[in-house]
Amino acid sequence: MVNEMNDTIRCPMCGKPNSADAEVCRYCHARLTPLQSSDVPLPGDPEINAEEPESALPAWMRDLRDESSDALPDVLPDEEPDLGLETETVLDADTSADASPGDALWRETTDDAEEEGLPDWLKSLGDDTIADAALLAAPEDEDTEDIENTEDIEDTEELSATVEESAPQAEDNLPDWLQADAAAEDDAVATFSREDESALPDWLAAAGEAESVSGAVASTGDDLPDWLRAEAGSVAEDASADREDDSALPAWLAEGKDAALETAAAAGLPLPQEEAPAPLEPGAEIFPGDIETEPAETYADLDALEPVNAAEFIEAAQPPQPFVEVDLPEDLLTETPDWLKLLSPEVEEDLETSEAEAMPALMGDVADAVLGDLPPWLEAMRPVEAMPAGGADEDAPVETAGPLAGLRGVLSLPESSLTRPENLGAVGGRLVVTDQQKRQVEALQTLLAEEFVPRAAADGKKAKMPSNVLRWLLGLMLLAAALAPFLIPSLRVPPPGDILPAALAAHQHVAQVQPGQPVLVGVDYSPGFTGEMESAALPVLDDLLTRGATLVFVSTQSTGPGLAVHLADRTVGAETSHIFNLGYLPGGMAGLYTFARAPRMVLADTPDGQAMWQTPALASVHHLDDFAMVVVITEDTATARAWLEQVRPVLSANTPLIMIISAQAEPLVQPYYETNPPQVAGIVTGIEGGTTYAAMDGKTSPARMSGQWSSYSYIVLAAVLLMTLAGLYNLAIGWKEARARREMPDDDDIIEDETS
Amino acid sequence: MKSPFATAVAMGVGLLVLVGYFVPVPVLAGLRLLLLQWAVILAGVALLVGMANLIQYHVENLRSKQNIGSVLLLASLGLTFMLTLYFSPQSAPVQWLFSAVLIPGSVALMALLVFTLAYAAVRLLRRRPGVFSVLFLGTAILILLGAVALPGIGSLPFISNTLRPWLAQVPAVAGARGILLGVGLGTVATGLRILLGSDRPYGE
Repeated sequence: MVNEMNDTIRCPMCGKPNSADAEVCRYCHARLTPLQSSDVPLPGDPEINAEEPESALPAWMRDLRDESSDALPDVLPDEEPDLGLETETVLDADTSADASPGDALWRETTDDAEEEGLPDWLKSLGDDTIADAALLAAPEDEDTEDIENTEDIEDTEELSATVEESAPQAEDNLPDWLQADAAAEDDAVATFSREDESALPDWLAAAGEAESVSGAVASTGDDLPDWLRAEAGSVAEDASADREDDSALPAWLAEGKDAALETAAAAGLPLPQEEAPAPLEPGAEIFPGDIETEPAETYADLDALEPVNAAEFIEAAQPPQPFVEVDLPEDLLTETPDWLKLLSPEVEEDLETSEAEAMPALMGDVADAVLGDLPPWLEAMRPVEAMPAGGADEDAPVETAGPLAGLRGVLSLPESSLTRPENLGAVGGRLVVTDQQKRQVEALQTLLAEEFVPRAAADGKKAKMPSNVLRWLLGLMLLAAALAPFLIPSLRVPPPGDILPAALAAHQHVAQVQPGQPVLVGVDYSPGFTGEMESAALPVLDDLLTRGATLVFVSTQSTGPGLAVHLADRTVGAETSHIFNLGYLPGGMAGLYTFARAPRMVLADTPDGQAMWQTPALASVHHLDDFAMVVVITEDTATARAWLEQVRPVLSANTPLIMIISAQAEPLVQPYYETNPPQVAGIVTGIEGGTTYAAMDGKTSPARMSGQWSSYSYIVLAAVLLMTLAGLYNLAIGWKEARARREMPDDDDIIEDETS
Repeated sequence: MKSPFATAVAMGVGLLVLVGYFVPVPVLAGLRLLLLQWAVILAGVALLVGMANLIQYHVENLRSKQNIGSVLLLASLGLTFMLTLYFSPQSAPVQWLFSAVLIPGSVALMALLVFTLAYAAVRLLRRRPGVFSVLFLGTAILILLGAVALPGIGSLPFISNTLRPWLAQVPAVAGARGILLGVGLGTVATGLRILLGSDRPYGE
């Protein structure tokens, strides 16, 4: 990790260089120097005393080693060489090419120190074992690659065959004494199979095989030292004795079996008759190495193999070849010892369904019998002491299976209201309504019900009578005001004295029209406004006709042509030869735009089929600008705006556009007159404007205009009087009622009071 | 969903007419006038379609409700239509119908507005007594007084020649100009929405 040339140190976490004296990586803040006191040597420290390898270990690990070695069961020799573990260590050392130099040095130092403390025969044994394991690992790597390349689970058969093929090759490379061990192993298995009629299942047979190997090792004899030979002999004797009754089980497991059988017999449960391991579930995942018998193969393949389906794998890879060669009865291979059945889930279910009185005692006895007889070294490693004192509830259940067996209350769920059915029932379904909310609901329902209750008939009569009387009085008053000037001529009022500038400008433009010149008149008012519009338009049209102008009517409303005829009939001195009616121009603004650009194309003939454009009066008209004047009669501001926007742009300054409008349209048309130059050359507004215009030229009948103006004036005066007097009266009444309402609490206040 | 073809036609025609306003190209001007002339013809046909729809509605109304009003409407419509077709729009019979029936009826309905407005003005201060109601009613009274002449007096001084013109041409015109500006902006916005296809008031 330390780069001596650059005097830097690489971070073990992120791999980036840091200064040698840095304690923390400046990139990932990982610690670069280990947290360890100076008096405790580091594992990679080369100054470690090679003569004292034990001192390189922490105290707790030395204690654990001592306890484990002391607590080993009797059947396991303390100095038994663990080939698989040795192989694993060597493989790790070989394959960990990227291991740090300190780790390699530590491993070498530790191995040297340990080897120096070993006898010579064990050193040579270790060297041979390392060499053999290396030879075994080489073909397995190739096999692993083959397995990785397989795409189908059926290739597990190929895996089994490869493993079987590699086994003889490995045996050939074994030393003589180990080959003898292999032969003795086969003999031991055969002997075991012949001598013991209580057959073991495959998985248990594999476990017993290890014991047989130990026994076989003792029989190899010559290559072993005396002490190991004695140990092997004792183990072989124990194994042969166990074969006869317990199928070569370790002593601690055999004792557990006996205790379980005794407990089951005391509880009156039927003892199991067949011995069979719990079958693998079809969907469970297992690794092929789980069922292999050679430890070296197991450790070498574990990291490279992928999990496969249990059912397919069992079908493809069973049974192991050495056991096939032995002629064992099927029932012996599939039977399960009775004591082992007590540990199966089925028996536990049976125990649960048995009598309630016997179940706690039975479960406690079974647990004590099976789990309480663990080897001392294994019992010492259980995390019982890790439980806080008093942390678990005394009533909490004790775990009876799994790694947490014997612990109390570690998996029990705390009681929650959600798990109580009575609480669930209280949560849903029923709405809790307080008395205050009930009062609010009742108040709201009362208010809503009152809205649909018809008012009392008496109240309606009292309210209707004054209203009808008032309406009749209003009607009679306005009717009398309208008829009075006609019935009593002396009541007529003089015409308005002030002439508005817009009306005066219209009059001046009309005065400039020469005889025979065509004037376009747009009749675009509704029939309901006939009275007002005709009173305003007739003085202008009379003036034009008396000046010899030719009137050409056109309308963008369907009722316009009829109104134009009605208007022309009422003009003074109208001659048929000077009035043309183009009729209805559909299309609104689009029609106006088209007519302004091409009047002859849009309206070629009159509705009567008259070739209007061929007449001498209109023969010179090809464009709208050829008219001497454009007069628009309308009460609608939108129509007035359409004429101004669509027709006015095509007119030159010599062609004025004047408007005869209703009084209600005056505010919206007046701005077009006040522009500079004015877009509207003149405005004649309503009856007042018509009367003023008539008073200026004197061509319209003074009597007719005086009568209309007088009626108009009287009706307006009557309306003003009514509005003023009744307004003052109602204003006083309205203020009085509003004051009374303010003094009375309203409905909202009532509801708020009720809710409060 | 409205037809994309209809949308494309509307947008294309609208853009052609709009470009014709700004680009003085004879081809575009002629095309614009042609399209607008089609629009004028279609608008005239729309009147006939509307009349057919009106007949259909009242025939159904006559079948379901047996309303006498529908009978009168259908009879009047058929009579006027036949007379106009047989004679001419400006013939004496058609014009008599127009002058003796349509115009008096429309004017009578408009005259009722006078009573309604007068009655509403009378009841205004009782139903909504307040500053703005008094201001509204006072302004209306001043405008009316300025537009009439009293017997023996004529136009009211100051009200007719000063106050009423000021009210009609300053505050009212100021408000009217604001309305016109709003109308103009609304028209532009509506045109753009139709040209861009976001607003499709045509088709189903």
